[in-house]
Amino acid sequence: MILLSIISLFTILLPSGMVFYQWKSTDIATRPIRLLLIITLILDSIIYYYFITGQNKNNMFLFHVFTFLEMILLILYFRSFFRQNWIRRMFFVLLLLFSVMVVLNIFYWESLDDFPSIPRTIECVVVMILSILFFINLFQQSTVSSLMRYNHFWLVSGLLLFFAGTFFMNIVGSLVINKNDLGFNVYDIHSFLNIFLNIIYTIALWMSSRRLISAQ
Amino acid sequence: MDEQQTLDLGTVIILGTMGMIILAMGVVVFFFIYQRRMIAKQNELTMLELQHQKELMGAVIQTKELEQRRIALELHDDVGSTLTAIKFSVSSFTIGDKDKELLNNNLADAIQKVRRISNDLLPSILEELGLITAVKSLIKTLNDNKTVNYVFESFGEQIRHPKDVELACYRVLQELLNNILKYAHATEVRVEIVLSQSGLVVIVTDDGDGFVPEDHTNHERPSLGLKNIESRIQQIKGEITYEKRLPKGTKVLIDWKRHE
Ligand SMILES: Nc1ncnc2c1ncn2[C@@H]1O[C@H](COP(=O)(O)OP(=O)(O)OP(=O)(O)O)[C@@H](O)[C@H]1O
Ligand SMILES: [Mg+2]
Repeated sequence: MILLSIISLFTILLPSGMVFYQWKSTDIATRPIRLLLIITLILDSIIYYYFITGQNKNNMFLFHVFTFLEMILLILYFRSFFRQNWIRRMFFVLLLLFSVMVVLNIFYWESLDDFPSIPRTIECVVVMILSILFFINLFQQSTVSSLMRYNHFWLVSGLLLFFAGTFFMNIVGSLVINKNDLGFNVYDIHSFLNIFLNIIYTIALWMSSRRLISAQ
Repeated sequence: MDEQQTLDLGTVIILGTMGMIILAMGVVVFFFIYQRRMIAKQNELTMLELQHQKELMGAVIQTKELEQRRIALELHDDVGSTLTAIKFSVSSFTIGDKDKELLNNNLADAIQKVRRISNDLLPSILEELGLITAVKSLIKTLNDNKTVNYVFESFGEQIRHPKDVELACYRVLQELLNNILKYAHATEVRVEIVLSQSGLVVIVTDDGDGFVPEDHTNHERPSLGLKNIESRIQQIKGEITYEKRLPKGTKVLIDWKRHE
């Protein structure tokens, strides 16, 4: 289903539009997310450009770059919720390790022309763990009284669902992307998850602009 | 054979993906419910604590009232009657008339003071003659102070309400007037009481600086007055509201209704 993929690509316009709409936002907590959305917009545009112009160039290097940037920004995002110094240092170590891993991966295992299966799988695991740590941390502080009105709860829940959902696809990479087994394509699930995540991003940003949250 | 294998792999991935999504949803829902429960529990705890504090406050007030009563009776019955006895025996002393008169005056003064203090502690007039008369007499003594002019007016029927209600109103009034004298810089204070079968209303207005309890949030020194007022009003299940008046001053309204 090419159409679904294209729709999925286009949904980035929603949250990134939100970023531009509240360009002057001073909300520090969502800053990495907003940056990530702009980067996503740029890369998605390039992919779309390749698609439209029918250039059958291999664009896998974009995934390498994107995965790297996405992981860095997400680590920074999660880091902002922790106050303890040693935990903050651990985030930094994690960031370094991941960067080193990405570089090594390009040289030794998956070149820029291959799907970056290893970094993406590791990213999934890291985000899932960090999400759960975020929830646990939220309890211990118990400063937020209404989760439904807390934009970061939405954001982290969305991230957790997205990365849990894409976990298996990333392991096998592009191997089975176009196999039709249970009546639908594996990539369709990815498109759905992507649309879902973009909607969550939009909701969360909209909430922070409405000041519905009680910032930590 | 090869075809079969990739097919199986695809199925595994799709099922695995679904499983992961469901698991992730489970985690989110779990945390959501768990957090909700925790907040509810916390709220309950703070509520209980508050309730406990209120009860404690009530107990403190009650003890204080009992203690005051004891001291008042002691003063009145013991010190007071001793002084009176001395006063009577003075006439049998063999001292000069002038000294006798001086002694008599001093004694009368002391007796008067003891009576006043014991009356302050235990307003017997309140129990015997009711709120209106007690307040009238309170205002009269306050009017000896020349800087503030106190005006008292009462409306409605001549009836008595339960003792604890009258006492609470009287004590609250005492504290309110005391605070006005101490902080408000007022020149005129009005006290109005409206009595009816269904309840009573006390209104205190002044032309001072204007004050509502919310203004007073910095507790750099201990103050019990306002808390006592709230506690007493709560005990009789009444209501008290503070309001700034224009252009200046404060209006305090105490409202109590029978059978709530
Ligand atoms: N009528 C008023 N006008 C202006 N300020 C007031 C008035 N009543 C109370 N306040 C302020 O509120 C504070 C708290 O009053 P409160 O009666 O609780 O304490 P207090 O009179 O200082 O001490 P206490 O009553 O325990 O002897 C006072 O310190 C005063 O600053
Ligand atoms: Mg006081």
